[in-house]
Amino acid sequence: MITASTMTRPVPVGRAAVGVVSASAPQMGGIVSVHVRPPPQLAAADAEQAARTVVARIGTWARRLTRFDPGSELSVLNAAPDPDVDLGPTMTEVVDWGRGAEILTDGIVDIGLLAERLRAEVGSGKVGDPPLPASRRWSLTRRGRGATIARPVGLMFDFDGIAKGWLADRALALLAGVSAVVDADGDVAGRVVGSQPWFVGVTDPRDPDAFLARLRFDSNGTGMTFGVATSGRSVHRWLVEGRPSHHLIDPRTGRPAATDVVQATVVARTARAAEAFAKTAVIVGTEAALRRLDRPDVLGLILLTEDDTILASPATVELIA
Amino acid sequence: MEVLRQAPRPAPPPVSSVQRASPPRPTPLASRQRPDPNPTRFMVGLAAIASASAIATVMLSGIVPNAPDPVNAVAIVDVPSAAPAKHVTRYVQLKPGETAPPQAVTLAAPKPTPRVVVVTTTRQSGRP
Repeated sequence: MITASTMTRPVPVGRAAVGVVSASAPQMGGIVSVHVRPPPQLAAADAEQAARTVVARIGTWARRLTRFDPGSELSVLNAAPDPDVDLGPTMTEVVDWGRGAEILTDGIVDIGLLAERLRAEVGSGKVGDPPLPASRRWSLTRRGRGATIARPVGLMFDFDGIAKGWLADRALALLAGVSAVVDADGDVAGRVVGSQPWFVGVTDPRDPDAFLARLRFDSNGTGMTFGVATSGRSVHRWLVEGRPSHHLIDPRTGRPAATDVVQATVVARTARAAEAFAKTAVIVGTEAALRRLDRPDVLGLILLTEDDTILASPATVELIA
Repeated sequence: MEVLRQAPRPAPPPVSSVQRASPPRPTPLASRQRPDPNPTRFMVGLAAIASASAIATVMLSGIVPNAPDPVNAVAIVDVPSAAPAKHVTRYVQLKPGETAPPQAVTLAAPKPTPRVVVVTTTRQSGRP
């Protein structure tokens, strides 16, 4: 373990990188952006159009997956009165990844915790206190590009913690072979082609204009892909009976996680894996996070604890610009 | 005229037979050539110019300070003066392949700062 007192200090974002075309739009309650470094055979105007197209596609997918729109496919699923519900291709892929994230994190990431989350928001001025389901067990049966999900009525799904990483990876796949970065409101997927690296800043939650670190991603000569995601409890928080609460539910208790981690950033080969691991790190706390995430598919880990300590795994230091 | 003609004449010094044999004879006035005055005038002009130059040098010597003798220039610089000496440093940027002279003080050019442009950030997201 390396304390990060020597880590790179803040540098403002905003300058455009040379040779990079970008497109962005407000989506999912935040900002989605796509950055492309066009290859020689691709005109800058065409690259910019491609970036705008990808941003629009992210918006289309996100509208199917949000729980804040009663007409979204997710909301229809959560409100369905029958135990078996047919899903479209996008929902199928995301729910399937939800199962994958659950396996990857030993059950810490659980997409069937919306009722618990809503109950945790009681007293926050948000809606809440729904009945808890008798079981959170569910299964998915694929049929062509879609699937049928079987779950107990009342089990509601929440894609917070898995959807943005999935969206970033899916969007990056649309830009096959191109050096590009997709930022799905903080969860980032990237591909490095050629000699020009990508730099991604890790925002300091204590100062929005500052970075905990700047991460550098270089090509390995074969179009290396990477994912960076950050999870934390310092943005989504509120007071319940005078005590601070947050949105990250520990599936082992059904309540907001009691953790000393304020924010966790994980680097992996995909954004969806990074997102799942980052959420896991916050929920399980510093000690368990360092133990659980000491694995080869975690390329970097940066933790900000509640006593303002910044911790970074040794592999992370190699990524710091 | 006659007195002069009657006065005793001193004995002439002995002369050689050649001189005695061919004494100079006055040239008849009508056929005598006068000397060219131009060389004399030229020499007189040069002398006048030289004199004027010498006089001017003497007169101006009290107005115009003397130029330092190159041999004694260092000694003059070392004399303490009220005005500070002005040192001029020349900076020459060496091109690739060039080398500085042995006595020159060389300064390493600052390395360019690598341009790090953070294209985006990872952050906590969603609705607060």
